[in-house]
Amino acid sequence: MSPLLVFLFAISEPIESRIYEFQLKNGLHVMHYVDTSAPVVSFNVYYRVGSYDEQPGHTGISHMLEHMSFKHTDIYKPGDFDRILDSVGAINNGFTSTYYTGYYENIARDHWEVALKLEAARMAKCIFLDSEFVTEHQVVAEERRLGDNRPTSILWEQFEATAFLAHPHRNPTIGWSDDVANFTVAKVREWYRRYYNPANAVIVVAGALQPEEVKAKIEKYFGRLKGVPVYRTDYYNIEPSLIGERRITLHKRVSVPSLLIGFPTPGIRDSLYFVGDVVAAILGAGRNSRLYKTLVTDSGLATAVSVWNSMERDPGVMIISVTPKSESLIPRIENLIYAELKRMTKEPATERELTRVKNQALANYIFARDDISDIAWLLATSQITTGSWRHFIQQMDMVEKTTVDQVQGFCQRYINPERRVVGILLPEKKETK
Amino acid sequence: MKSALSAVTIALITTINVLFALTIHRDSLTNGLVILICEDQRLPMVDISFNCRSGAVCEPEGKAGVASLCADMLLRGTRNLSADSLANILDFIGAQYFSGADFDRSYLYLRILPKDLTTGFDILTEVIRQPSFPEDEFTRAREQLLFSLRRSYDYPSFVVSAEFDRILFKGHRYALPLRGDTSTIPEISREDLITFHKNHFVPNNCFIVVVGAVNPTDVYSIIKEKFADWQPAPINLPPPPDFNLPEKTRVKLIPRPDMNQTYVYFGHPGIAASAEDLIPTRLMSYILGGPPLSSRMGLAVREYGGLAYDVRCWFDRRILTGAFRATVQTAKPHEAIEKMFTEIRKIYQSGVKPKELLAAQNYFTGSFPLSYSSNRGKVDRIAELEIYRFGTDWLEIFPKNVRSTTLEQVNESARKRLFPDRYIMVIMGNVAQEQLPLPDVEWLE
Repeated sequence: MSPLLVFLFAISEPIESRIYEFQLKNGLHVMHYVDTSAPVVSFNVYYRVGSYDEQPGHTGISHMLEHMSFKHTDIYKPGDFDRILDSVGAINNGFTSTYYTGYYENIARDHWEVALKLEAARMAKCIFLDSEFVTEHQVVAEERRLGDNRPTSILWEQFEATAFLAHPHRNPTIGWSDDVANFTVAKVREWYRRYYNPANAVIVVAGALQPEEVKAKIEKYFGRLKGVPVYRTDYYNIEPSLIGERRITLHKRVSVPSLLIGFPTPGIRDSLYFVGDVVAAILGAGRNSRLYKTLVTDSGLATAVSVWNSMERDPGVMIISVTPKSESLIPRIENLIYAELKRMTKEPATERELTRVKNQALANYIFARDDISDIAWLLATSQITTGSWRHFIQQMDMVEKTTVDQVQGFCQRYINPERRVVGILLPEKKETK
Repeated sequence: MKSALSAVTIALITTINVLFALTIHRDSLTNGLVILICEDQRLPMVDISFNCRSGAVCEPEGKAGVASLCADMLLRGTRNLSADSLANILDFIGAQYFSGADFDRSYLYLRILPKDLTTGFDILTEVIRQPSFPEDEFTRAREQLLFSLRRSYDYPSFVVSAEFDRILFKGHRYALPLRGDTSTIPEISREDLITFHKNHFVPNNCFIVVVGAVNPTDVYSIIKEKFADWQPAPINLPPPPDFNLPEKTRVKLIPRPDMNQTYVYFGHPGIAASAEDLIPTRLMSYILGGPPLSSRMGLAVREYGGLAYDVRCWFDRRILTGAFRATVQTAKPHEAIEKMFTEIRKIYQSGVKPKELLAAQNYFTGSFPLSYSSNRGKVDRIAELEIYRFGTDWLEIFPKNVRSTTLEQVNESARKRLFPDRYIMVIMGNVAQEQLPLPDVEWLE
């Protein structure tokens, strides 16, 4: 383990010592993070289903199911979930992502069993009535329209669809408009039967509970549910290599242009995958990052720049997002970016750049534990996307050990300006007489 | 130096029992700088929030945006450190930091590891007491703010709320967006920021909140060493907005044939944070349009109507009287508006049901401690208590007052704080006047 990580673990109790993990006979995987500093609990149930699993014509169905799962069970009627949870001061919600669908209740410790009862019903006893589907279908269609009226959301959606030809990453989680319009209650029922069961779920409990109590209560509410392992198609290597450049330009009712540039990056099965986050931070985290200096401070061609690596599990894209001062400056901005990226492949990053990024990552590792719902999210998503919650700790260790040679090697192998995806959002063209 | 800090230990109370105790040390230096410290050794981290009690409402006429720009510029250079040097130091220790302003305060937030406490306070002191507002950084910051604002106007949700404020608060600072407008930001000079900082960043107008793995006595000593010689100065607070409630609803329609949804935004004058009926009004507002899945508006418009993803209403939380606001985004504005109007009329005329009040009370008291369970939550909530001058005993008073609020008080707040059919309303989308259920309104150009 690296010296800084050792130091941080020395001044804070190691996270592993606070995590209890067990699995029920039905396959339900449970993680419990103990934090008794406040008598509150974050109860989380995640299912291994999301836009990753959706076929053409049915994009967004996982999200539609998430909406419907708040409606009706054998004993609960529409509105009961929120009415019951509101009445004990709990904060709850659900969300759908690429690799998972999650539900959480942040709740006072004395009431946490309420969340268990509701989530057990959601896992096995949902009932999807035609009449309730009709109404909720309209709600989801309205949610979809919200994105249609946000210009940068449209750019982002089109950019992802351009960056990925075959991989499910090309589909928006909420689904394409035509697919959303064609949802059926039969498909929702099928999706629920296929994916919602203990063997396809992960539970994370974070907060002021003792391990014995957590185990007993989870067994009580979830132990009798039938677990059916779900086969998940692996699309890890499905995306063909990017050849040359793919470029889209959208004209919308905006006053400020936007520029996105993406480069394919490796997934978690690549030994260098974690270097992507380091490279993104060197390029775009803070005002001393390379691209902020180049584009904002020195040349003054842009007002904002950020860089992030979108990889969660399968190969993804490193994205450079820029706010150019005007449309005419975009070619110059692109050239400066490509020149900086070339420099990354030819000259190693400085030790100070690397140390800055490591210090930020390791401090964030501590800060992430401030909120029990954040740590619950970290554990659940790490478990689902990598197969182990320990992965995010190992990743910290790998980041701390990253060398300037690894950074340069990563850039040489993956950040090739000749293989890029470019998305540009511009103001509408003015009509000329 | 004081031998000991005064401390208030508050038991956060839920419906049935004591949840946990929160000890807040509150004290002040002789120059008026208030210090609030909450020790929490759970994790090796420290959250610091520096707050100035002057925000956008204190900006000079025609200079909307000064407070935001001034806060931004704090981190862009001091007498001894350039913007790059500041970022270098803070980024290198892995700090999280940002600054900004809302209508009632300007603030700087810093999160660090305990080993960096000295560095953190060195930087904090320098940026608060000795900002240099370098010319080149000012020019860049003003341009960035302008671009950011222009981008905000690309979003329908921002346009309708900005237009609503412009009409409702005409003549007051609230009429313009929090961070200024495209007409005012270019008028701001570097000297305006220096003047704003000189007039408002004075110790008797500021307070510091520190939460985390610290020794309160040590932190008090550090702050005293850094800030005791800071000179106080008199502060003038701005006047409240002068409302003219319309006799009938006034509607501004913004045609947008390219949109597939209509954004509806309406409301009227609201309530000040110091009002005696603040808690009954908040309970009433929660029942009317709080959670989208279980409030009256949520049930009528979303759950039973299927008309929108999000529908809600709320009262601004501001020192001066803010607004009551309601909003929905829908492809069927006619039906959604009718249902929202109906729910407001019903609660105004008939009040709430006992079980609705009990559920709202349970939610308020039950969720209250959740917001104090993280360091970040504690910092933000403690700052709110100080800004609105609720006092640290508010943590104890609030749940009790919520619990003791009567049905009559809530119903009285509905009659006093809601003004059905006297709204300012902004509608934006692919919809025409005749398609809307608004027969007896004044249409604004």
